[in-house]
Amino acid sequence: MWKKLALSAAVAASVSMVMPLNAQAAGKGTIAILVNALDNPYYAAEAKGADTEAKKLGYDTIVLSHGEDVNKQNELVNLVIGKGVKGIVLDNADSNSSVATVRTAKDKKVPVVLINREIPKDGLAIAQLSHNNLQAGTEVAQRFVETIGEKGEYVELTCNLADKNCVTRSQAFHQVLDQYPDLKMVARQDAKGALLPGKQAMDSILQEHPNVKGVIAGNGPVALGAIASLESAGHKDVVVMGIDGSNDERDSILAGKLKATVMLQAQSIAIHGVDLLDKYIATGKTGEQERQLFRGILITKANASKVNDFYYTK
Amino acid sequence: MLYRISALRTLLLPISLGLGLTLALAGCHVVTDTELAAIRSQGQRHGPDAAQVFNGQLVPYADKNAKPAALVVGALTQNFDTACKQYGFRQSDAFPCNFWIRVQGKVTRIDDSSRVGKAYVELTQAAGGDPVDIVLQMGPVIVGTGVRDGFPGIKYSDFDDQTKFAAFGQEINKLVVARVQHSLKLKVGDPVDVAAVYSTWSEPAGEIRAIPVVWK
Repeated sequence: MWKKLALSAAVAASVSMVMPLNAQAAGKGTIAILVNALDNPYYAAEAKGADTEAKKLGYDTIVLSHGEDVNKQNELVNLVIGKGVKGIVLDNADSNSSVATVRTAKDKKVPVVLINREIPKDGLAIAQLSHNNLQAGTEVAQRFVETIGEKGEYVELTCNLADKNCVTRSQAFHQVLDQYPDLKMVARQDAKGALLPGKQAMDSILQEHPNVKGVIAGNGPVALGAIASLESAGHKDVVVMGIDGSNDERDSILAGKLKATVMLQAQSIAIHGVDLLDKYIATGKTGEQERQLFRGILITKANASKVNDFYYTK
Repeated sequence: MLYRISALRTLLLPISLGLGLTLALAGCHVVTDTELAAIRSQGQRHGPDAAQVFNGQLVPYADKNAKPAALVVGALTQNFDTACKQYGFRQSDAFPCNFWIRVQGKVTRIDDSSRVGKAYVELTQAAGGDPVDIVLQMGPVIVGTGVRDGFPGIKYSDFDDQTKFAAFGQEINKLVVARVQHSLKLKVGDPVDVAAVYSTWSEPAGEIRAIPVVWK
């Protein structure tokens, strides 16, 4: 009972902090946008893309974050359904656990578009739009091996192996790097997707392996953490690459520190999600395949200036 | 009397329990581990068999659909989008555009200093044409998944996740490498007539690296 009350209070607090609930206000109704954490640049870019597009199409929006908490996500989904939203754009908290959440919305005739993370069931969400993490991972890994050469020691810092996207990226790295037998991975550590654990992991790895030629990281913050560690230890020649494409990574590339990243098109994926939702609300179908991939764009010093808030200017 | 009721109860209890259990189990079906695995994987797509697709469909498709390399490269240098529509295939914007090209010419250089082995082929051109070089990827490492992505018969939606889709691409690349190592042993000066796939996101910049699939 107390747990439920506390959760409800937390949900109410998170809602009121972001935006007042006014699901019936606009002419076309309201779309709910649920992402992981609005203080993370990637998720903020998703929310920004979806929010801007929804308003452009004439919807009001409710933007909420579930903080990667499945229970909170369920509460929020039920809350916005209760408020009469026309549809939900959801970057879900957990692939498997979110199947039930999406099913609940479907049963209540509220269409859900999943962005970034897929669920292992077809036919529940009206669309599942995800980044081509394999393409992103293999592309940056190929650039990594071309830069450090086909021989020597390297380190892999995974982003968060509880996240399927991070697992996929790691698999992609190894699909490329494991084809080079003289390239030795001397350490592999999970850095929880954040800068500080990335730095701490690299600090300890460097003590045992001072001769590494490169570090390949599962996401941007971890790559930047590794750079911070390498800089403070005086290892400025070590090649670091990652995946994400935040403005911080862009700036690091332009400063000659991070050698490459792959920018995930967070805004584009969210915009397309809203477009599909709008089409579905109007016609009862999206007219497109449920599962769709978005490419990651390899970013180096040559094109880094085109990156802004996970949007690539052509 | 009391004894009799008690005896009757003793007799009836196991019977009723057994009957109840039988009725309850009547709705159940004991399955083997294999059956359980099959049940758990219901609704999941495993995707097609790589060797069957490669040998039965992809190789003939490549041979039939490869366009002269100089023609495709010429169009690509003019405008990527137009060339992709006219000569290429891409499943969606998540993939590069894939061009099946027929590479006819002579090997001018072999570079096996990297595991991404390369054979440089100068195309046979009409008199007066600018020389065009195509780099054939000879393995053992093949960069990219152009062979998988250039075949319209395979879609991402044939699989239920990126890992399976990627594994399929890797299998296809292994089949390509095996085929190349078995019967495409090139040396400088050799004439070639190869159907290959070239994948690109934009107009060519630098080497035009293609993956050979079928040759004469």
